[in-house]
Amino acid sequence: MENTALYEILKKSPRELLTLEAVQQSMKKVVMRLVSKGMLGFSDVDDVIQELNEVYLNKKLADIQRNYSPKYGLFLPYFERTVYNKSMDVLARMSNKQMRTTDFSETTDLLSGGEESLDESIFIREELKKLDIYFSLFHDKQAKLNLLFQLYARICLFEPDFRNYSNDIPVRLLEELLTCFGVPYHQLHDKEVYGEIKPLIELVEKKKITPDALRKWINERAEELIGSLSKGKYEYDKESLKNLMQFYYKSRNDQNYSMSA
Amino acid sequence: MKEERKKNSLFTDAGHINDSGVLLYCDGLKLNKRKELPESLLTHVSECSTCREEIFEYYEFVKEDEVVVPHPFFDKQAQTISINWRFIAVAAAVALVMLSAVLLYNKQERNPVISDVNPIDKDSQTQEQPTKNDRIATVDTTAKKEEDTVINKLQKKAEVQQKLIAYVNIPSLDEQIARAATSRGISVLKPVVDQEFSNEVLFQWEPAVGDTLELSIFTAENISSPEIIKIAPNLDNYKVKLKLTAGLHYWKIRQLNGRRKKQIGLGRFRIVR
Repeated sequence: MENTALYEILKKSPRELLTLEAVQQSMKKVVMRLVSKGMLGFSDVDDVIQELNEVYLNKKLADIQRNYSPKYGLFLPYFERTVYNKSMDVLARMSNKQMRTTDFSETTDLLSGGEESLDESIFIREELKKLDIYFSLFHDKQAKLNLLFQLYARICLFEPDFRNYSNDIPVRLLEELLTCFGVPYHQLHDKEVYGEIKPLIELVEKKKITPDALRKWINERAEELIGSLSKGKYEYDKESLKNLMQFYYKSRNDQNYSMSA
Repeated sequence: MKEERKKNSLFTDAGHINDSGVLLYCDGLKLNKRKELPESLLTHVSECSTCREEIFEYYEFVKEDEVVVPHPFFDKQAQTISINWRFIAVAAAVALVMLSAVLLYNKQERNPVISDVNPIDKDSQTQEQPTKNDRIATVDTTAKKEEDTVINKLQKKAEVQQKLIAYVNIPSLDEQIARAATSRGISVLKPVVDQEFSNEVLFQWEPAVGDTLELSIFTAENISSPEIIKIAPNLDNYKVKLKLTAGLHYWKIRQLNGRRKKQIGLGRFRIVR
């Protein structure tokens, strides 16, 4: 059905929407995807769909009627987004999500051409794609985030890593940074690491900043990322995130080198 | 008024992004058009962890869903261009009809002057008449030539505009085609992207599948009402014998399995004559 037709029904008689096959299919699609992601048991599908229909009839359809604008997207994807939100509320009540944990230390050679299984390799690549998406959400702060996450994971940095953040670094400062971070620096404490990078950040952001503020900023981002990634099939902690970062930057550098070769 | 403004906003009253905002951002990521998103949305998301979490989570949930095109937001520009061309073509046609009507009216106005000679002055006018007729005939011929020239120009302009309409691209599909949006299992071998045909279009894929395939053929103009052909199971090629107009055509092949439709190929070809 055309979007304009659906929009007309939404405006004139929203309850009629729920009787449409396309709308019911959309609702079922979202619920079944929750099942496929292990967030909902198959036996709960009918109950959840019935509950969703009741919620929509009682309140949610009026909200959609008030808020949906065809200017930004089609109706069915918008409807699915609202179904997702409501389903998450239902799931929160049921709280039957099962978590698994992962240990990246067991898969250290995955991206270096080791003897990984196909499933493991696909899993790692999927997680790396998630990082790509997460970083892209930072818009103009992406370069800063990349630099500080590499420090967070204690990854050795080279000139292009600093140049990606700023192309205008005084030679002396660049030499100091390379001396400090161009060699393994796992032994350095957070205070020292962020103290060393502070002059560059201050130079780019043109304001005074403390090493502790930098540490807090990147730790908050790390916590946020751990939270977001852990909503998938696996639960992360600081160490597994650092391991994932190692993979991420290694694969990114490999790609850059292979492109420049 | 306030309700309308709220509806057209991407933010909630609390200042976070709303469902439209989340959906638009996810579509931007899927279509690789994040940079075309409103600056206010990009900036807010880069600064707000709550909204980042919302987008990240929902993107993961819907990343495999195909974005239906044309997209109301991202393809707005392409649609506007297409609508403008259509508008210009219609306007040109209307102008053509009006001009013809005016010229015809003038011609009818002039002819009565020639015959409407006062009987009293008939004699005196008899001598002048050939001269006047000659002059009017000359004016008539000149007007006719002008009329033909204008009509020709407008016709040519309308033809050019029609051709331009026929070659309007669908940017979001072009991106998917550039990313070789094909299924892992089945490869569509023919037609190759931008292959030119004058008449019949051969589609070929491998391997043959046991499901019915649905082939849609459309242009930027008729994207919402494509030509749909159902192809019987177990074939590995199909020759389209539709009378397609000259121009750029897009195609999509989907595998039908019960209610599920799985896209197995997307591309474009040109009909040249």
